[in-house]
Amino acid sequence: MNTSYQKTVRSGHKNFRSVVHEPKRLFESYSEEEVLGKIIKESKNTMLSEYLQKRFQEYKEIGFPVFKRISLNRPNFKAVNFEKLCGPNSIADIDEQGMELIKKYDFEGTDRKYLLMAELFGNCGYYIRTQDDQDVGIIKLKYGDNSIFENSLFNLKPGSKAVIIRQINGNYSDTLRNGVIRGVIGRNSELVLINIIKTAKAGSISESGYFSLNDNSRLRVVEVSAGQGKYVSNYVYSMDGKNSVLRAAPLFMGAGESVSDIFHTIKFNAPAAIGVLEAKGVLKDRSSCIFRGTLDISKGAFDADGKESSFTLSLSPHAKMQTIPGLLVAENRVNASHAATLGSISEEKLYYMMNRGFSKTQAKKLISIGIFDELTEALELYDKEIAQETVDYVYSNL
Amino acid sequence: MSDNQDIIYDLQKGQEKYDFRNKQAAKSMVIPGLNESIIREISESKSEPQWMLEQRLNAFKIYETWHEPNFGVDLSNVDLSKIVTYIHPRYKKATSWDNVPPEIKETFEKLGVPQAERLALSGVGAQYDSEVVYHNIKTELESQGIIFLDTESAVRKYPDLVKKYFMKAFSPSNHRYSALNNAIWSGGTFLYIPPNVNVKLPLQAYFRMNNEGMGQFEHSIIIADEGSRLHFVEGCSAPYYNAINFHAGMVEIFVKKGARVKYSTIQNWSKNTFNLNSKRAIVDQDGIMEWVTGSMGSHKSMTYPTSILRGKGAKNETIAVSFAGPNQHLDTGSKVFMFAPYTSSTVDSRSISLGGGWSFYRGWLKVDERARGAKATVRCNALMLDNESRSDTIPLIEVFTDDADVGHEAKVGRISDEQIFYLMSRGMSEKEAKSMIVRGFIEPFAKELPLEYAIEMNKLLNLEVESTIG
Repeated sequence: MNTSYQKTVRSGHKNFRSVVHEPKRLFESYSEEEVLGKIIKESKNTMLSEYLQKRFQEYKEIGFPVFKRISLNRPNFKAVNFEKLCGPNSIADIDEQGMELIKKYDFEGTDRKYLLMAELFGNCGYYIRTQDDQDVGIIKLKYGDNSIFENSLFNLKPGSKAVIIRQINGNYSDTLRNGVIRGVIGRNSELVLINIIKTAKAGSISESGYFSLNDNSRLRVVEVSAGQGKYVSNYVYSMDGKNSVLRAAPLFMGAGESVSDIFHTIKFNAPAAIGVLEAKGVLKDRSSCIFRGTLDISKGAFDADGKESSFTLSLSPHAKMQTIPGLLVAENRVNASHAATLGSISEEKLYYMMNRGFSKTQAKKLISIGIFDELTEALELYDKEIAQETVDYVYSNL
Repeated sequence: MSDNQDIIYDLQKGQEKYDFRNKQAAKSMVIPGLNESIIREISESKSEPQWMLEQRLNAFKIYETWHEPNFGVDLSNVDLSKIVTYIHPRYKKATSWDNVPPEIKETFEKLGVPQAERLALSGVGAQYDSEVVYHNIKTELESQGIIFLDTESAVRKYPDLVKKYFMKAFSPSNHRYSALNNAIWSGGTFLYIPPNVNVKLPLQAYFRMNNEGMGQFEHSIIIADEGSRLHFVEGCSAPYYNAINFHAGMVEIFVKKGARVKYSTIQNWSKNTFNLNSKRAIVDQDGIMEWVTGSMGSHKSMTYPTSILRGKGAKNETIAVSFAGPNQHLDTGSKVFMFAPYTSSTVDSRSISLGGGWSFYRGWLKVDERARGAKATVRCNALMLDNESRSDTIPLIEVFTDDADVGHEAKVGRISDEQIFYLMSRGMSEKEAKSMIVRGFIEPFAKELPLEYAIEMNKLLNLEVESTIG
């Protein structure tokens, strides 16, 4: 089994090892070998096919994880249409350099089983490349109802710029939508990534992401997850270049009986990197969310500046808020801090709004929608229509 | 020698005070390992009632089915079949230091326990290996109805009272080491404070492990009845051996309505000791539980003093300092479970790591849906004195109500050049400046200890921190 991939949590120091919880695993068969056979048969990319065959060996040896906090739907491989991959820039056309990057940035994801599954059965995925110093503008990636498994790679060459907006509408009732995305942000390049993920009732979504930031590169991520379904995400930002800058804003809105498990990790591997993680969310009804944000600073990443904060607002006595802010520090010449606040809307704020003619429900909605300012600010720069549509969606669910 | 080598050298020098051995004290060692016949032997030697033996045997069955914790320090090189689980005492328990055998008395004299008792304490219990060798309380406190005994004596003298509280804060099925302690416990303190009694000076228990390769499994129970007040101080140490020593003690505290208990710990086990201590307090209405914890010793530690706030308005205050030096992995923290309305909690955790040590704060704060109007804060600060060490902080915060205010903040850093420059510009040397900053860092912990008790604690702090920096 391949054990050389990057684990999300670093668990050793000198001769010491820390025990890390491993989920129980169930070994179930969904005739995946047969499904994979069809994919490989129809694939015209020999390099990709060979890679998938190798990955399948590892996949088979790992059982399906039983997560502590969230129970995802089982995948339905047979329902997936593997004949057509989505649009231009398809991952099916990946070149040698792209393959090398996928191999190089191998990681754990929401779980190794899910990461491998998304790669192996990726019936949708984008391979977006820029040229040196190219500004490719705004790329909107839409995913249809058939885009059940996604395997995407964004490769930004030095000095280039891109804005990528991913819109995932979670019409995946009773099944699992499972994606893996990788981003390589080259020297002096800049990527803005906006993920809009709508989770449908009875649907499950898994998102694994890994981003490598090189010298002086910039990455801004706004991740919005909203709806009534189940959502698990694991994003790792690897600050591999000096003076690289990350700003990530996971925003979440839970309604109904939705369950979210959102995990973002900034790994500081190079000097003078700046990483800011600001999570905000609002929960209503019987929804629950766990947000985990970790700053992991390696020895040698001196002058790193890491800040993490989370703010969760509860609108219901039955909502469940959980947060695990982690600081793992092996370098002492750093600034690293985290803060978390969990609470409800204060009576004073409600009184102020109601004094100005709003009903209590309207007041609560207006205060809550403020949590998504980061999204509206980011989106309005690039696509006002999507911005309005997303805010309307969130507002209607509040 | 570099500054850090100075610090490490001084650390080792500081431990000399605790690093002495007494080879004459053990009467006979039980064969290493853990099985039913050893448990029966321990129970028989203590002349225990049948119910306690049955509890032990039941817990042992549970222990055998439990896995190692799926978090924390690596315990893979701990082989409990090689640990001596119980050592018969050579001497009877004494209530006067004059009746304590000279070699054991000398041990505690060196540790400063009798002096501290004379100067600043209401009573002292002293455990040497598996058994308590000395227990005494001031006569006037005894006359107020306070019961202060070693736990096995309490089992015999007050069976109903012990039965009411024994393994009631914990269950043997909580985790592997709660089952282990329940199965083979020996020693510890039983303390009952009657309603509205205010114990003005602290009571102390001191635990000493003398023998190589042994395990200590004391079990303490403290009951602070309604409206009473108590400060209990716990200290521990052991000489250094090459073999593993193992400590898996347990403390159960019951804070009744309106009572207040402060439990201070100065953990200074030798650097070959694995310390897996379980401490839990059940706090009733308007009760206050204060944990003041200093973890300086041991090779690896896992200890998370826990408060279960089950009464309306109950309160928890935790102040903890851990000091991870060379070859130490200290996985410590706090747990607070808020199950009642208007409960409140503050946690202030500070850690220092140097010389390659690994300090890990692991916390768990849970605000249940019944805890409406609850307020809680968790603060974690870590100071890394060199670039060989590591400092981690992972708190879990769960809030299951929309009517609670919960905040958390954490910061990791070093002593900045600006801080040192500022103090040096006022005439201090670099070492003096560092020393002052470190003392300031741990001050909230140090000031929670009784001034008089500094005879024990301040010596240790000076040895472990101040003198090593200065």
